[in-house]
Amino acid sequence: MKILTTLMIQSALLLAMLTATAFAENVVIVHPSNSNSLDSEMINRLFLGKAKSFPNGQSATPINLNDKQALREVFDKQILDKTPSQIKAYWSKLIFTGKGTPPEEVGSGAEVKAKVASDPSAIGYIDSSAVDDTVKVVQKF
Amino acid sequence: MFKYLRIALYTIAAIGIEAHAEIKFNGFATFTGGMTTSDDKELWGHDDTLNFAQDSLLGLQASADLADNLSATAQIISRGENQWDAKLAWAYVTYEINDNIKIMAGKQRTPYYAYSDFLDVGFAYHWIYPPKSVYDQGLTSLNGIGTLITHQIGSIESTFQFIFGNEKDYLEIDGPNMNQGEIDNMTATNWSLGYHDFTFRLSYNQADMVIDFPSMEAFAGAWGMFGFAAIENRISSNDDDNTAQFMGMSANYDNGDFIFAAELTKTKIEGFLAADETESYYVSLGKRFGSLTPHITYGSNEDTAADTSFLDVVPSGMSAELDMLKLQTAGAFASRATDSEFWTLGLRWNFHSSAALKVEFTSMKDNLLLEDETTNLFAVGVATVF
Repeated sequence: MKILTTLMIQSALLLAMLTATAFAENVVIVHPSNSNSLDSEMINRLFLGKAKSFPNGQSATPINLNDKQALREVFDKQILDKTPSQIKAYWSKLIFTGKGTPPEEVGSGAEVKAKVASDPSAIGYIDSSAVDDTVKVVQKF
Repeated sequence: MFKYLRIALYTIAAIGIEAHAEIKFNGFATFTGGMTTSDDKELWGHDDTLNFAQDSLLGLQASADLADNLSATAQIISRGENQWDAKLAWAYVTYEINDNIKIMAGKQRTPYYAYSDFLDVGFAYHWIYPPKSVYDQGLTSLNGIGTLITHQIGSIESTFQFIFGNEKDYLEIDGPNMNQGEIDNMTATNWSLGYHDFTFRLSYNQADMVIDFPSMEAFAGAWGMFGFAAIENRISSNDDDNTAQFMGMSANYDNGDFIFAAELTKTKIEGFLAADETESYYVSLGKRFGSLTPHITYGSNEDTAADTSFLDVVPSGMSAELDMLKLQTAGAFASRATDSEFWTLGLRWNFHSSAALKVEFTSMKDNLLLEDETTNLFAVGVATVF
């Protein structure tokens, strides 16, 4: 009975993992000390410069991938709901009027992870396979 | 002159290097040509020959973080209509008191209406020409100090801006001659509310205006000679008792699929010749189909001539010269009235994430003309940011 139960639990976990991998290959991460829970709308606001701090008032530093990275386009589509042109047009209204600047950009998931792991205010996104205990996952997409 | 370009860039570079700061460069460019469809018509500086110099421009912006919460920004624009002379459009220092409050000091663009402060960045909007009924005016920047206050209330973003400053610039009022204009004590306030895909904006700007208007000064002088000092003062725009008020409200909607923009503006200028009251509005609708955005816009502009009842005190029939002056003055004021409307049909194609090709056809009707009232303008251009 015990073996059967263990087997069932293990299969369920495997199924859950496979399902998770199939539907959510990417994750939004923050520093492990960050206790905020964030939904897609909040992440959207942080990366569009509409919000500058987390719900608990702590300052936020979004870390973006540069536009040559494939994951950037997935993030822009899923979380920001904008095409690359729309994003450029959105930021051009802010850059050229002194009202805001786009988030810092880096060239790889490894750099995103490094920055998020070392800065309590950072928030970024990486492939879920790169997740380890140096960062905390807040959202999947 | 590229002299100012060099000075501005070197200054930023010097300050930047001194403060071990990183300098970021951003730029924008619009290369646009327009032509009217009939050989004797002109619209917005274009005649029936395709002309790319009139509306094309190149802008370069340098910004440097100088110290904690302090940054400097300068923007230089080179316009085809000014023989590509580079002119300093903005040069200001920003101090961030906190995440919500910024203070900006220096030369800044006057935020009259919704698209005013990024009017030169063609890539940011769907038209080639933002409706000229609202956006065709001079004195677009000022030197002063301002504040930007942003706030979040639930899902609503609130942005409040206030700037106080002065400016001297050249305006085109009296036909092709450039008149020296001066704005003193301009207080510009505006408030925007953003809720999901909606944005609403209200603005109110007020300033003392002094405009050098030689032809009106001639009239004013003549009235002075006849002994009507009050009328001389009334007509003269060289003195500083002319108040200008600019009011606007706008609504914008963009859900990535549909675009809607509408704006209503009113300008009141008291104390001199240019139209007493101008009322303009436009409504624009667009829809995205992949990388194409076709759009349609309707707009209207009405200038109400200034009230000439101040001439009623002048007795008629006393002298032929006085009668003539009264008639000419009344005529000069009446000629400032305008009543026009237009339709624009256009297409924007985002052929690259940083560049768009735009094509536009505008038909403008002058309702004060009895015949030949319509002028059509065809325009094509590329807008890019880098």
